[in-house]
Amino acid sequence: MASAGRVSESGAFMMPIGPVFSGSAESAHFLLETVGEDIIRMIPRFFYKYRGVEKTAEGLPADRALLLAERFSGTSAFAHSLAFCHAVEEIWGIEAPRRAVVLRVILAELERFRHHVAAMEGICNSTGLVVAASQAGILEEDILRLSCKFAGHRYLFGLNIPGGLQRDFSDTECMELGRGIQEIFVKLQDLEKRLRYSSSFLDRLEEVGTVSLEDAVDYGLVGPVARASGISGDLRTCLSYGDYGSFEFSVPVEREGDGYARLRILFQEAKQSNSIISQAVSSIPVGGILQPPPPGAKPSGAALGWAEAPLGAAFHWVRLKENGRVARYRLTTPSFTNWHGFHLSTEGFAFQDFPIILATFGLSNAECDR
Amino acid sequence: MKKTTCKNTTMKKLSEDLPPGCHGPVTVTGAAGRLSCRMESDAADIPPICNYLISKQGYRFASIVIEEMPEEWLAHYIFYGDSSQGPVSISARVNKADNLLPSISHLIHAADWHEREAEDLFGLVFHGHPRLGEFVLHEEWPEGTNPMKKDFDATVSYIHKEAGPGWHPPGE
Repeated sequence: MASAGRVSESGAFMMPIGPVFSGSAESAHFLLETVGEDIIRMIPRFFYKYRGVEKTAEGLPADRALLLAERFSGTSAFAHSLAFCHAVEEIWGIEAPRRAVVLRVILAELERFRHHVAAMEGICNSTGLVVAASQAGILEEDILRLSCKFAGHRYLFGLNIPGGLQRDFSDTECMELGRGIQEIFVKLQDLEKRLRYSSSFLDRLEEVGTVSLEDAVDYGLVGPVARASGISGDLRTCLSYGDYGSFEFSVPVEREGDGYARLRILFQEAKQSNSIISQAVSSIPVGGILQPPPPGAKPSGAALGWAEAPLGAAFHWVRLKENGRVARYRLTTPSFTNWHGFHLSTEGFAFQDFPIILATFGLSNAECDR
Repeated sequence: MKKTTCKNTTMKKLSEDLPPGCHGPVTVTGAAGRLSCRMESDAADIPPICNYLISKQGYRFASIVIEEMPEEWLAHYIFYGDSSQGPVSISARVNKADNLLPSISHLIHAADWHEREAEDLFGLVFHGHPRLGEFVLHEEWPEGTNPMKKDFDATVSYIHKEAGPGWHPPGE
């Protein structure tokens, strides 16, 4: 029925969803081909906003191009700016001081924790579980306020800079953040427990939107989506950077590949992030937070920087010219990678499951708007 | 950046023991930074080398980076492995007059969107890719105008195409 061509069957129709959505999500269009109940084929379409970010970066000094990296996708701003900084630091032949490296770990895990709680809210919302969605929403807002109090920005903008961080944090501030996150985590555990016993909620997630391990490998899926399908890849361990090697944490992996497995991964990763933050805040090395670039003419060259963003592997490739300006900048975002395989999770499932599957993937449209 | 000998022993052997279907030569150099090795080969050898990395060495595909040089295109294919093997990049140079790279999407499905994107933004053709065109740039965008090319002038206004009534979304 579904081949290279259009679905042709009596009663077949195409259902467009999008491209304009309310709220802050960027445009995306999903064309569902169906004969009634089941989605036979799903054709996604992105890139409604071509921002020319990589083009705009060309000719800019590294510290200006950093602003583009950071603003590429607001919900993963810290991870993207970190990957960009890693690339520039390599070209310049410098390393951030250990104090900055550990602070970066804290901030990156704070971002992951907040991102996952927001994704849980989205999942609860998609199933119409209003109270749970509100509870997750409250926790997300708590984390945003905590982030703002700690770092001066709800989405952690303006912190990373090639060579380290723009500002330092006192031990008291860090300990307070750790305590705040722990308090939120206790509430999150309570939410998890309640969700686990909400059978009407689980019915909507279990065995829905399944992606097999084989497909996930074939499409090179990354992040929580891949880990829910049995791929244990995580750049924090497989291409370890920063100071992750000195903290105890695990990379949770599930096998089922369905919506519920993806939700469980989010809860487990939030737990790991909380654990990393609590270990890190009590072991911040003393010292500076910024390694300045070498004096005189900065080295030129190309380098690959990476970070495990909340949604998965983010690669930033940068070439700097002799005058210190960007010759080429290329971002590879986890959402760009995962949207490519998103259709796998929808085909063969019911129409009304679509918004739920979409929420369990929790991807960013902006990460495609290059 | 200073060139060093390759620390990645598997890749080091690759220049002598070429993967099946690969004609060589493949130069393998180490990298001072986080990449464990850089390779350079003919464009025609890119598919067998990429296939070898994925299917025999357990690497995962990360990205394709296209760079425009004055006379040629420079394409970097980036892969990463487990903790013992840092990421590797394989680069190929293509004459601008040829404008053609072999597609690797039939071997590595994850590269599909990267190739489609590069075709749209740079005007590079990936030989063997089943579906190039209208991807990042939608149907109104004028054909043959590639915004990532160095000669693209953003200050000029480009006449957008009118999508006719027969137009339907790509992918059909």
